[in-house]
Amino acid sequence: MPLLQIRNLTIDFRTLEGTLRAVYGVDLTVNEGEVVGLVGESGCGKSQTCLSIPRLIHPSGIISADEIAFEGRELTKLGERAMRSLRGNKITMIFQEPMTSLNPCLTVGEQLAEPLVLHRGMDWHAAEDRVVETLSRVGISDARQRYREYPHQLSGGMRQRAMIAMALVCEPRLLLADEPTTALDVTVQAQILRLMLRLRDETGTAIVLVTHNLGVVAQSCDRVSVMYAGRIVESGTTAHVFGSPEHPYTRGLMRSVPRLKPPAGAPVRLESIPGSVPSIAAMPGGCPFHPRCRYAQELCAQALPSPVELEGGHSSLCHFAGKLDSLGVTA
Amino acid sequence: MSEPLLQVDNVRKWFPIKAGLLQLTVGNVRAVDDVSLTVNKGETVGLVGESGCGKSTLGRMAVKLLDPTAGRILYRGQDISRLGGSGLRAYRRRMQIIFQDPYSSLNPRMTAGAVIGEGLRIHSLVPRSEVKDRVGELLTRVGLGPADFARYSHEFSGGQRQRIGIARALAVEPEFIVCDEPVSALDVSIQAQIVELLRDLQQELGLSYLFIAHDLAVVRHISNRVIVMYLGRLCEQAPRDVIYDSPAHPYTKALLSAVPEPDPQIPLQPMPLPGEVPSAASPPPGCRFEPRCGQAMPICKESQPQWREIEPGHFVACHAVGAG
Repeated sequence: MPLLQIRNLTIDFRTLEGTLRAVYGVDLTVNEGEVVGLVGESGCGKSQTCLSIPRLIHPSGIISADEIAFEGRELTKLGERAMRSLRGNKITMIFQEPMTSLNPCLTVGEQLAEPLVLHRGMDWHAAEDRVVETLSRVGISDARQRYREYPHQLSGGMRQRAMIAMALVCEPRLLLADEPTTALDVTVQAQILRLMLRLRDETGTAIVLVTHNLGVVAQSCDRVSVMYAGRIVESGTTAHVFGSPEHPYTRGLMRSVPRLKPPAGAPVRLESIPGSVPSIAAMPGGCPFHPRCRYAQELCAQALPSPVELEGGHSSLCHFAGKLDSLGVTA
Repeated sequence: MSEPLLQVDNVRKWFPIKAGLLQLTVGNVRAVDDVSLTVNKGETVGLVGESGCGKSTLGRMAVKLLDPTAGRILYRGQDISRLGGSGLRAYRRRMQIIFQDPYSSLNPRMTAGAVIGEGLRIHSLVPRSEVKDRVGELLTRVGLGPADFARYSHEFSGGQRQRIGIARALAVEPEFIVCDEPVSALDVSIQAQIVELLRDLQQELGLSYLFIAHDLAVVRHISNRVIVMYLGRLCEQAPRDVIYDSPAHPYTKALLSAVPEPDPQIPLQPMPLPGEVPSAASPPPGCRFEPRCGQAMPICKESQPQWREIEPGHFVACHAVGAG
């Protein structure tokens, strides 16, 4: 049984312009000890998908799904009290902005010990020892001293480590990391990624990593789902998706990222994807990517593709998946 | 040797730290400390470093949005740091800046046309009756259209706003543009569009860029020469391929090793970089990088390394380089 199984997840938001759909029928499976990437550009629905698991989306949002099963329990049927006992306990989150996600009025220690007191019934003294130990594990020196400090006294990298420590203190089964390194410098990012992977190896915690950075995904995820306009357009092992992308959007993304070490024969110009992401209030008919797609055919404007299964669990939401190279390309 | 357009000469920018009732200066944040660099005509110089290293402060001094505490900034041989009035206005036309955040750098109460046309009017570049046509041309050149003239910035996406920022900079026909993290707020697929637009404009108009960014791959793609900064000082400077293929400074090596490549076949092997960046208010007395450097020697604690040319065009400030 997978640790987390999402089937046909749809998220709608009630707005002044009517009900808008942000996420269309997303499926996602996460196994024990696995790192699964959700990658895409702003507004593609990757964060909402992630936030819907512990039901943390904006109150105007409506989550509907055939199944959101965590350890075999159906989360959509769970009452608020039961959900609260999972959050910060078995399911924890790391957010992008460590400054705005930590409470500036509480010491680092108070915030980190709280889940232990609430969920594990520990007293504050015992919780302190455990928090200090966790802070040292994530690479914070003088952890006893840091316990008494406020978030503003820590650097950006330290705060993100403190956030990770907070997410780990109850030894969760599932860690949801929403752009955990986006606000950080590249050297700190490398350290944080290493730390997350080491903790996964030590504790078997599964991680859902939401990011727009293809490099971060390539370096840390076992499997990846690429999202565009509220849908998963391609998913598979990291090796498959990066090695032989079979959705035109994934291909376009990869061609538009400049490389630190350009492979031999790389084009001198970056190939960008023309146009921009459609607004969720005005989705094009047919395949949502067809107006920007260099492989687009007549069919693409008319019919929404269904997922095409390729080898090894690799799948692509494209009419021509597996046959892209034989199509004429419009430059 | 091509002609130097901008010369930054031993420039320093210290921001005073004031404290207490009398607001006495109790210290200085040494954002930029004795930095020299040159931008030649028609070239792109990439300036990289992590947050707080002083790269944006340096960029702002280069276009005189900030004045240096010490040192000179020469534009075509003229010291602009002491310039004022109409002399300054003439220089403002020749150098422009494109900012990072296309959301906060455009006035929400002005239409795209008003933003782009402002420079044309102030410098009287075209007769009033022709401003609209010229703005339309500029909008077309950056990939928008004359129909966008009357739209406000909130009606545009991030990439489109950055195009307006570029059109605004181009309106006064500058020779030199500081690009301060112009693509870091944009989505991956849009980044490529803007980077290629900047490269096309450079070819067409003979522009020179000081391209400031923390994304090392983007900098490699666009620059002819690259400079690495750390805590207010320059570490290394070299032609683009030299710095990426054979970096000499330990910090440059650490920085390059930390970039995750979008290819699972190339594993990330970051060099250890212990500790944190020290405060720019009390930097280490010797080499700024010494407390975190794997190759530090006793001399690195005591004296600041000299800026030396280790091979033609490749400069480095490190005691350990070439020391055997």
